[in-house]
Amino acid sequence: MPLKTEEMILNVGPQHPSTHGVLRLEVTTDGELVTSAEPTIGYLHRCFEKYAETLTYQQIIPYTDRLDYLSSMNNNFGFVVAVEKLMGIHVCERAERIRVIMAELNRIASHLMFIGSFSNDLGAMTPFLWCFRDREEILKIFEEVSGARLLYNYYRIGGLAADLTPGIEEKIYSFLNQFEAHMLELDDLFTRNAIVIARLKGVGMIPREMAIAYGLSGPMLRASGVDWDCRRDEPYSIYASLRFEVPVGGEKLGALGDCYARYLVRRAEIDQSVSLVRQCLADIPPGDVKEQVKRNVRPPVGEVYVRTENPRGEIGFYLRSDGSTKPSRVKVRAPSFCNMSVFSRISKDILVADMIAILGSVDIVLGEIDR
Amino acid sequence: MDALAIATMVKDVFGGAVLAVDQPEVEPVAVIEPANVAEVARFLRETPELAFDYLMCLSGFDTMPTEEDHPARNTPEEDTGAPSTETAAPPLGVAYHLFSYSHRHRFAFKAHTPRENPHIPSVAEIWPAADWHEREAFDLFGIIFDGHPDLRRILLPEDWVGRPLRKDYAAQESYRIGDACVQIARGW
Repeated sequence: MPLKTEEMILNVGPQHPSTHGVLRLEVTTDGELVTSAEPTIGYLHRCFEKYAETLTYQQIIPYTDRLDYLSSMNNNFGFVVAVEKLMGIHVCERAERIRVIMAELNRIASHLMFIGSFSNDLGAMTPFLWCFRDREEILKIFEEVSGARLLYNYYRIGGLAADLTPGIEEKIYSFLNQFEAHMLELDDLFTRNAIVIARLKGVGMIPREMAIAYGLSGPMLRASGVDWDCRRDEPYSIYASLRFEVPVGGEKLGALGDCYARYLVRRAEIDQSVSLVRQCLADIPPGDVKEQVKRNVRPPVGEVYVRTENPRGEIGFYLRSDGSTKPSRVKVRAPSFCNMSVFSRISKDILVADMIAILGSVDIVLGEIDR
Repeated sequence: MDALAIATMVKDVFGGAVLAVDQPEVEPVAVIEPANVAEVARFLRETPELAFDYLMCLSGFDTMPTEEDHPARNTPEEDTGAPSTETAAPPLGVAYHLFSYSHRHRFAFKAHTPRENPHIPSVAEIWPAADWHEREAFDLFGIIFDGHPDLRRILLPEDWVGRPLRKDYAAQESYRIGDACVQIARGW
């Protein structure tokens, strides 16, 4: 006689380490099999967009730190680029170079956080500690430059809050040298680990068409084989003058659109960021990085949508200006928000353990999903 | 293709449904009759020379001026070029930003909808990415997307009262959780 089974509804989160924050997954399970997983978001909603309408443009910058709190520099970058486009401001070469250095260092820090928490989700503790050891060095650099370890508030419309401190270039160089050796160790420990590959290969497949239709961006999109990077293909700042490769899933980087490809793309991006930081450091021209505009900027009437490449994907700012010192509307197109929307589609008829791996590979930050 | 050329192409097919092209020098945004949004979206998605396969962003917005002391452009009259009618309440709007991976071009359009009864056809069937974006605009602006598969609040609790991103939103004094009524703290 066949045993009768019943479906069970399981709540993962909102307080659960695998959800990387306050996310709730309503999972319907049939034994070890997930039949559906419906994410509930909004636990961290704090009305950023409403606040922004009551603040001047410069005052909004510290709030953008708190969107994706693992890559605050990149959020600052995206916002100031959007306002500068609205106003038609040109920023001096020195400030742009320092901006790219900080953004790429933050990308490395963010991807290290991803590898650490991802390996933790898979049940490995060591890579987490190794990644945090290196991330700590980047945070020390940021602390010296901006005065903060997590929420930097370093970029300004038309410039930067402060110039580089004396001797910081040597510190960045010595970090990079040490870091590249550490990454080779990490490859031995994690990237080429047979257990890791067995857990990730073929799990959570996202075909190219689905990735585009759901608006995925960043490493999620490139892992599915779309060769697109805002830094190269819609260049902002000085990216057009820098040389770097865009890692894309597929022939060179494992299978197409599975969790392992998403890991490999991020791992390869770390190397590219190291190269970008070196290129910028090699030739920083002198200049005044302090903003050359008034504190209360007053952009002309108009609206723009400007996107930049964050570690998690495309962060877009839709700004509407009514000609006053405060924006009439600030909409943040958060990469994690769109990347997460595909989750329930690919989390069907999979094992519970694989669902956790898929969630880890999306690399969400609830701060920007909920805003 | 350049955004102005795309706007002309859409205008050739849909005629009067394209009300205007806003800020042609900076970043052209076509203003579309709200009833035609889904048809225009499908045209942009399915025409081979356009092939807008990627919805970058979908944002709700409110055209009500924030402050009294500066002249607002964001009235429907100025956006559409229609003669001013002073009695009408400022409408809400939705802006769509599109990109095509095959042709590498982008396009933006927007539609206005009346404040009292805001309805706009859903594009969630055309771009699945719109699903959550439309839920967000419904949640925070109260815009109803007709034909959306699952239109409910996404960021705020189900029982929240009001649409916070509207300019005339008045913050709640208290909030009900189950049977308990929680007074919201003020002045800190």
